[in-house]
Amino acid sequence: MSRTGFDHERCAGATGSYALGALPEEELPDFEAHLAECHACRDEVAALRTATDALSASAPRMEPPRELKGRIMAEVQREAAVLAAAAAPLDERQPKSRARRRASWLRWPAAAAAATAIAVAALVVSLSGPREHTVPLVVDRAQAGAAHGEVRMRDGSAMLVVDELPQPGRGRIYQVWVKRPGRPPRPTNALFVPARDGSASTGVPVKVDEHDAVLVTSEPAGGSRAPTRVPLLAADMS
Amino acid sequence: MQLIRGGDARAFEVVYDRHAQAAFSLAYRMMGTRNAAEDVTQEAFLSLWRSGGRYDRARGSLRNWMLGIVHNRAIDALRRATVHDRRRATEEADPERLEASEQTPVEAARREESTVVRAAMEALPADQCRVIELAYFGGFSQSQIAAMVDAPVGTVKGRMRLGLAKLRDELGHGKVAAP
Repeated sequence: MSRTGFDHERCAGATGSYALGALPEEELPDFEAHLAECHACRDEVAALRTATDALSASAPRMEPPRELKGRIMAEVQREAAVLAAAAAPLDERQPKSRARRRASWLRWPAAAAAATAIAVAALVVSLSGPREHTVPLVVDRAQAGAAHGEVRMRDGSAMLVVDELPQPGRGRIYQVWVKRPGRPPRPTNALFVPARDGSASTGVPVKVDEHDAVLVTSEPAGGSRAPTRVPLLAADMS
Repeated sequence: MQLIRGGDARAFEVVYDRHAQAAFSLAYRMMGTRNAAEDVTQEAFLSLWRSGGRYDRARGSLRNWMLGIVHNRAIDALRRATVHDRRRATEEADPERLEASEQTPVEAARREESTVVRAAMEALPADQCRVIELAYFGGFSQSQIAAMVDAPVGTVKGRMRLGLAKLRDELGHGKVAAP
């Protein structure tokens, strides 16, 4: 018996089932733990997978409908525009001038700014020590109403605190992202809904440094790997 | 993929055009209806768009990775459906209605590849071919298949393993060594 729940003989007997995706979910952790320490089983699974890869090619060739491409590309282009809009102001910002930085936030997100009133809180950084500071949130009033709050930074750890935030709606959740200039927003697993009184606080579970921005978007329940909507809250940590 | 990771919709469109037919074909084979196949294909491509950063070239071709996403999405959808509906789809899929026309040499080559793999499947003993089809295209677990073919789970697992090894040999990938 190995250190895992699967001995070698049992694992070897299940390689075909595993390669086909037919092994019960409850057996997967032990099976995969055994694979991690057994070359022979790992090699056999890799070999059998060449057969399962070939199976996908055995499906009779079908022409996907044109409308399908239209639907997919419409969504992709919409999300690409969101990414570009979220990226632009951070890439354009001028760290030496607080006034110019604030002006760039007013242009963000570019596509939505013309239609929505974005109230920009005074971007005052209150320092309570050399490694601790607080940055007020910039709020998209069209999505977040009277919400207000801040991101509190201490030694690279960030905490988002917000009040009067509306509920995200049925089947949706708020997700926290960390954005570095010139790069798309990185998803975090910080997903939250506010309490009934609109208050919420959540840690940002990745290291945040002074060049980053912390963003919050409304996403489908479970979160997303790329933002599907423009941010409703943002804090530029620099 | 680097461009897709950077949010380039045109780069994604190139990938879609190259792999959509294979993806839709697999989705249709598994789901058995056009609408369900479209849903699975759409979910799979949007997943690729949103998670392109996870593709690792060292672990196989983009096509196989894409088809792996389609397969997983289809299994998720099948497992939400009733066993009766899934079995009917597995047994009654009518692949002729939407069959693609041969338009390019690449598509013709893929059609040929499809024919070769199907011939290799048909060359397997019927009981091995059956459990592989139920697992891969039907999304059934080994215990569900055992109940459907009225055989012990251990026998089903053995048929899967032997069948895949023979299929691999038949397709010219060499022998699978017994561990």
